Amino acid sequence: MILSCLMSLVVLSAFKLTDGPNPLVGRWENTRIFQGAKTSLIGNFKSDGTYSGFINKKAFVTGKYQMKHDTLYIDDSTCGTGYTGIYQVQFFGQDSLKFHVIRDTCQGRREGTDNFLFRKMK
Amino acid sequence: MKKLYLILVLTSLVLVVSQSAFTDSEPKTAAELGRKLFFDPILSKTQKISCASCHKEEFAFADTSAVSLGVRNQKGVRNTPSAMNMKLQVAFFWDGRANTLEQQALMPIENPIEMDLPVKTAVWRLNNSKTYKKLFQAIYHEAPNQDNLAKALAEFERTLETNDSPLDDWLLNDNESAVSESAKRGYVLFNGTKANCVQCHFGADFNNTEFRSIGLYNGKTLRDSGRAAITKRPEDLGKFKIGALRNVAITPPYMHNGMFKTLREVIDYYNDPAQVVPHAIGRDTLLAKPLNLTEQEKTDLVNFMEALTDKRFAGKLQQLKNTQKNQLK
Repeated sequence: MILSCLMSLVVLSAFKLTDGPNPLVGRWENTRIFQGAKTSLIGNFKSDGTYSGFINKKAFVTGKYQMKHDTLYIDDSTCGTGYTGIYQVQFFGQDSLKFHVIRDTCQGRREGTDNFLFRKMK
Repeated sequence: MKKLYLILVLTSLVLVVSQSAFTDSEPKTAAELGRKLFFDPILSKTQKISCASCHKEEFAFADTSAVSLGVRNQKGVRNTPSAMNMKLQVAFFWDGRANTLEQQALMPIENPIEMDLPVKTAVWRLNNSKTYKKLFQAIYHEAPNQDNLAKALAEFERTLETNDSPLDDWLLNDNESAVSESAKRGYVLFNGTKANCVQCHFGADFNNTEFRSIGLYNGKTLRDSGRAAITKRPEDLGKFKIGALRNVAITPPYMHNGMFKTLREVIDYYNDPAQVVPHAIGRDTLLAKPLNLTEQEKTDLVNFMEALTDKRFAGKLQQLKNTQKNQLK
């Protein structure tokens, strides 16, 4: 009995339990007031694990990211490699999300990201 | 009789159309008023120089000489920076002596070697212009004064944002053909630890808020102390506002003194600053060692910077590249 249970576990573990498609892939936009003016912040997350950030559609940062379940690990050239930001990503359906900082020592990235609502761009 | 009638009708039509065209081109917003002022030599003593005389629109509102000529052909002291992409900036001029665009806008008007017109006199002129009096009243509900003059100019400058370069197209729209493979390599180099340009040139306009010395001050042949003239701090000797890089490929020559004629010269400088300026004072430690870039890497960096040129200036960029090629022959 025990052996058959163990065998079942071994068989089951051989199957990859996929997380499904990465829900972060795509372009997400937040609009806020910055220095008294309406400012757009866009993150373009690609399926190859790279992303780019845009302020008012001006590219300003490029980096790498990884999604593990609802946790985002993010690195970029501006904050420096090795200064990985870790965020919990809260999805609201398929068309909006919020990032909640778990740990990020890079102030600029944290201030631009934490707790802002981003909507998926078409 | 019929002919005369027809002529009268046609003439009236032409007059009506031309009048309405004139009315339609009248500024209706602060930014449009600012544009009119920016291009108007009324703001200079001799009425021969406008802001646009040095901030030339076709060159991304920068100039094409090391220093610009003000009233009476007086030479300026520093290279004219581009007036584009100012919205996100927090300091203005090479030495950061202005903290807002409104502050910045009035200083060249009063500068004796630039437009040489006291702001009070500029305001007096505007108040004595029926057109400007009417426009300021319509837009600001008051007569021209120092504040609304500065605001109008600043509002115009804030419209000069560019966000449609090949780099933006590549990264935002996933358009792989928007930039060359060389430019892509250049971007990797720019952000990587070998060239490390991103340490200073980061942000939406590829500059940050700091002042840095790249070693263009030696107290002898290079005597512009930069930020130190404002802060009076010795540690600021030779520090200048980090130059924004959008449209940089069409704004030669480069640096606060315009000493580098091409982007290639700039890259060669960064590759080994001590070779170009051997006894610099206060050069940033980021530039302490040569970069040892290969010729291909230098080309890739130049191509990357060219990819920061807004598409509206694509023709001008090609023209400049052709000129530079011909000069090398």
